[in-house]
Amino acid sequence: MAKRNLAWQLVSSLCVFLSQHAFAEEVSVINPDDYRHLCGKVFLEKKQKLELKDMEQRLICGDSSGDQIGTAWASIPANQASFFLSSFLQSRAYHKPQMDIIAGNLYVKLGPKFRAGTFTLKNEPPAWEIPNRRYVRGRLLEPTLLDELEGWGEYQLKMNGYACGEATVLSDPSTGEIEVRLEPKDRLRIRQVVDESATGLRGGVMERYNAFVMGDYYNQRMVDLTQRRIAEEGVVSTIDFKPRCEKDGVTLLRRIDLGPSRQLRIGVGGSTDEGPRVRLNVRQTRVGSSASTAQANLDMSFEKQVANASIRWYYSRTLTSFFLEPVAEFSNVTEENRKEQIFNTTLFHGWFYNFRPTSLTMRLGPNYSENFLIEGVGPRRSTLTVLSADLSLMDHDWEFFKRSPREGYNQTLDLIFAQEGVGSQFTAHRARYQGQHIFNIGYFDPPMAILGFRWSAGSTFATQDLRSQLPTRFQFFGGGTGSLRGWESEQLPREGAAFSEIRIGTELRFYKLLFNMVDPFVFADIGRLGDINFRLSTPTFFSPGFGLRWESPVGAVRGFLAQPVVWGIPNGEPEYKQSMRLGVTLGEEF
Amino acid sequence: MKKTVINIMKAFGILVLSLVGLLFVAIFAFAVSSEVKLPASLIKKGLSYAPAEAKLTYDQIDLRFIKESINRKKLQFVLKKVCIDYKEKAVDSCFDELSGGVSFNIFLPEIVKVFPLRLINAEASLDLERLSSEEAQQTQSSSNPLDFIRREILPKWDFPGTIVELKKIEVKTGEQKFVTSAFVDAKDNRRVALSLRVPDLREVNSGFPRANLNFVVLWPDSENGNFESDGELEVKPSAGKTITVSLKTQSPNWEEIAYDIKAKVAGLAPLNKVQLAGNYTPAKTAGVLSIQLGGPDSEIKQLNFLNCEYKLELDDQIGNLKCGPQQVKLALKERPTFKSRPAMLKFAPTFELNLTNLSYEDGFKTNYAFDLDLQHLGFMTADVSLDGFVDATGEKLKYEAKTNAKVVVEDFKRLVTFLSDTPAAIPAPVNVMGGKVNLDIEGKIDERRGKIDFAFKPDLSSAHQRLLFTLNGKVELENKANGMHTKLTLKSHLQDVKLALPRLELKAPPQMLPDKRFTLAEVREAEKSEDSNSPKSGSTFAYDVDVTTPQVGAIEIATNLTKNPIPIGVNLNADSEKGVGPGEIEIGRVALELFRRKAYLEELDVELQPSGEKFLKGNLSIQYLDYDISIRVGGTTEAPKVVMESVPPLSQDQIISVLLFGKAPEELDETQRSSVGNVSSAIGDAALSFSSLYFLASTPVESVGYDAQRGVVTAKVGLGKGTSLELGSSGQDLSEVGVRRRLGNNWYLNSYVEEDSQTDERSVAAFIEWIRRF
Repeated sequence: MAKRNLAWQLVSSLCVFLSQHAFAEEVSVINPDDYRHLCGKVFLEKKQKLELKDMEQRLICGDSSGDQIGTAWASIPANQASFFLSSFLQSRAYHKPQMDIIAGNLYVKLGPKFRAGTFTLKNEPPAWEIPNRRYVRGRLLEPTLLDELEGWGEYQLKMNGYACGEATVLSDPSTGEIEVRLEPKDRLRIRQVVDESATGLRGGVMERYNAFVMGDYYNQRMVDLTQRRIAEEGVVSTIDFKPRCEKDGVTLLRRIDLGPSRQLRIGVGGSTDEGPRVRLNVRQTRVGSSASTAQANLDMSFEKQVANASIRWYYSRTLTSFFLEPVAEFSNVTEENRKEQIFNTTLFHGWFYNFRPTSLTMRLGPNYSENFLIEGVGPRRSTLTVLSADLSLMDHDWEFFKRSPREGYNQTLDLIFAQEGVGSQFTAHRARYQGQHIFNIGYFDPPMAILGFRWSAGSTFATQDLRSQLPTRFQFFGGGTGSLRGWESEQLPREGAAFSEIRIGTELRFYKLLFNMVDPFVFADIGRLGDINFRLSTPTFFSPGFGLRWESPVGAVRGFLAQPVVWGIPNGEPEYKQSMRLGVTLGEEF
Repeated sequence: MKKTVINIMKAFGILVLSLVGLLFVAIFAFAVSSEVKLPASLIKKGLSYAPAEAKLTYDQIDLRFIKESINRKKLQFVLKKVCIDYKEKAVDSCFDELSGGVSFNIFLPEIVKVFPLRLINAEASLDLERLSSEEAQQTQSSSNPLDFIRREILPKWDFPGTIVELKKIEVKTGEQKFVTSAFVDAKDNRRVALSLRVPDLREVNSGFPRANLNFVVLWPDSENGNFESDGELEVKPSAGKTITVSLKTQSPNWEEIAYDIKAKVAGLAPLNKVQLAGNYTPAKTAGVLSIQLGGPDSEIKQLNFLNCEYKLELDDQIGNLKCGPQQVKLALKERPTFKSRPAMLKFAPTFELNLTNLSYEDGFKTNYAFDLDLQHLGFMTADVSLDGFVDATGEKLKYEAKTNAKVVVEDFKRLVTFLSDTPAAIPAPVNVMGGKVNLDIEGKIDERRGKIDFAFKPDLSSAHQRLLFTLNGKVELENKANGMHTKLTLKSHLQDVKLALPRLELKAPPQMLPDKRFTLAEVREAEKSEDSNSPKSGSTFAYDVDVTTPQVGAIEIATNLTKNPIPIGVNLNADSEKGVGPGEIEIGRVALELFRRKAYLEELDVELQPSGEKFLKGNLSIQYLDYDISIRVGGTTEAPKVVMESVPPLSQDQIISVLLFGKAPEELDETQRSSVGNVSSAIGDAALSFSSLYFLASTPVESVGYDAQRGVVTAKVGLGKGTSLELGSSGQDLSEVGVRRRLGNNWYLNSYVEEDSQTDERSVAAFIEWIRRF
């Protein structure tokens, strides 16, 4: 009976064959007129642009050089071009191009550029404080973005004690999802720093630059800051740290290349206040095994010629961050109504100390200055001896982001004491407390909005009859980009000098909001000036404004418009000029 | 006692005779009665014996036996408004009317005539999953109703007047649902129109094709035949694809059918037409088969195999399909850009399939032998034979295939040209070569294991390239309970290989391969399947590959990075257990330009270990006017250890200084000195990969940076791009935050913001500075 079903089985087999082929994927239909010739056998959809690098062009279009290599790679068939082009397009965020090989030609529709969607971290460690990662969604989904996020994930681990943590990144182009997979490994504390080779420097010399504290959890940012401090100081030619993760902690392997210790700089240039300048600087960055420094500087412009020399001597073998710093300076100033020669010398004793979030620097010492007035109003010769002190508290984050401020604080207190009979003809003291605190609102990385506050409060303390005798260093001025931005530098007070001040400034900056490169910002500065003994007086100076900041390759360029506003002008005094001020700065920050 | 027994037997005999008499009387009464109508109560009583799962509701059932002659009765039935529900809707059917009749001989079990059937307004659904497998088996085992219908019903059916209206037939199996309708109308005297339509059921099942069947049957006017049919089936599997089949049959009697089937295909290139014409009897079928491939939009414009003869003789258990010898024309799509390729190729394939011991008893079983001889394609010959058996009679399929194939590409250039416009085009740089390629295959495979030996021997060359090697291999297969185990063994002997790499740029190489990081979805899917408890396939793939060369230089790679081709020797093993290695790649002496000087790579051995590590041992020499510098490379490719030596002796920093900048350290500017320190540190950390090392050596760099924490080396290339941010301090009264831009040797452009701590006055200063450390 089974034989009888033969015909039926044959027909059903044929139907299966046909249906299997019938259900095969449909061949896309393209119209060659919609494409333009790109190169070789590659056609690109009209209206679409694709810039190829030389090597890319050779790999999809053929090498036309005709030499040994060009001959072999002269003709690239469409299937091979398609293979290479897929990778090239992927590197440009085209993840699903449509490529049709018809008649040996490759017809390419780039399709949409894919953009990043959600960003997640997987396997986050328990002890973990990280900023909110921003600026991912909507960006082109290119391999470079994955590199960036992979590096970011790993850096976050290393900032939180996971010195040897690793991160890998994966992405799904169809959803835009990016997932950074973390492998934190152990959370480790810094155990020791070991020099890979002898430097000849005595113990503790390099430690004075440490931004990290032994026994703390490893923090990559602090290691980077340490390295930067040493490089900036010029103590050694190159330095690097390499973490070695061990069971009981991290050993930092420090490699130092001392390099030559002397540096000669000869420069020709100019500055905004002095015009053309020439300068010569000789510096010894490493004196003795304590790595003390010494330098001499000659700086000449038409208005001012300055020669100075200083030594920073780390004198103690045990207190390695204590130093003595004698400074001597001679300057010759020739201005329109004044010509004077000044000799100034100081002997500072200083000390600095790093603790967990901040570094503290203190300097104290006598300062002797002698002025010879050749032309101008005032005594022909005056000498002044003062005791000068300054105390600075700098947050590590502020220091780390000094080039592009985004968080941290910095506070300075400086004091000058002049006592009649002790090298001075009067008794007067000056105190000034300045500071800056910057907040990364929402703790985003990169920041979204940066809110900054800065303040200054200071006064000279003396008797009223001394007002006419007090030199510049006892006086206070207002105006300028570092002060009240509605007025030019030192434009306030209108006449004479003030002997006290208080001012507060605030600025809200939106990080790279425009074109992903320009920060718009708004600000407001307010302050008052006053008389001796902190007697502040009206009027109150206020200057709101707005501006733009761009981190150019040669430094941050900031332009702003500030409106000067004056409140409470005493009766009888003339009005202040209140026209808007345009300011442009290079390299300055808030 | 004896008398009693006799009396009982007598009584029993009388009883039996009485019963037989009664039966005969009943039959006689039934035979002579003109009409017997079964009472409704009796029908209802009878239906009560139906299976409990079956529920039957009806408005009217009329069953009656009508006398046609003394020995023939006609059973006439009329059912109205009937619904059948079997096994909770496993079978659910309703119809308005079913009527018909059957004449039968009341003395012999024989159907005499079947009267026209009327099934009006019927709907039915069938849920295959609800029907038990036992029942399905029962249905299969008692699979003779078709035969019964063909033998007993069709020849005796007075078909004209039959009307079947199946408005909706729905068959469910799991989530799949198939819906169709069928109409049979035999109003015309002999022409029976049958239409079957599978409508567009996208709402029901998007994967199922649309189909229409229209069939006209010329019903035989006598019981013995001349049954003819003519019909057309149109199937639209998806948009733009249509299969149209026309079928004509003629059967002079019910045992023999002559058929002519023509299928025309649109949108399924290259398949175009299939024609099958022959005769069918239950024991034998034979005919001719023609297949036409090609179409206006297809790469193959024309390829026809015409009048291939086939026959199947089931009684003798043989089958045969023979094509050729015939000249076959292969017409390809014309391409104006490739004039060299002929539009029409002629070749003469002969192939024959012979089946013996063919049987359909309890399944399918046959021995087969297939031979293909392709001699005249112009650039290629192929001789393929395949024989064995297929046995599908048992629970498991048994088969055996023995093959012997010899394929020779006589003219590789013509193959390149032939394939050039196709998706299978030969890639560069092989596509400029000409020569000959041989492929021999011999193997045997059955349902348990298999072994295929092959030998691939290309002998190709072009102006600057050569490809001569032998590749002997075998594939072993073993079908175990847990899956298929496959092992590939390859032994490749590279006698003479000269290839050119594409022109490379080290400065900004493009992304040559797909970035594997864009595979989150796939990785997650793999992890999901790993996590799930689904049984893992035990299938394995193992390989064992040997690659050898007779000497260093048997492989030569031409590249723009070296003046002369790089001579290479290989002795390498890779297997699936150990990975790549042990093995060795030796690079011979080659002239290079390194550090802007003529240099020689004296030797470089890469030793591959199964652990994945690649150990280096090499030596480079660079000659300067005052120094002979040699660089010895050890360690691994990822972390090479570099030792630099010179005559007369110099320190490592001095050597790096000379190599990178062509000057002694004391002549370097600050940036260059820092670069030397960075390179020295990176070398000390083995942080420079071999390729990075080569990049540094072959590209003039402006400066080199090294981040020891991350082990990252960066290099700035070319003048004018050396801008870097700098932060510094000078003296106690001024702080500077500015930018340094390197202009050239020792020359920098520096900008500062200077702030006088006494007056708070800020000013911006810019200097062109000459800076020198000493």
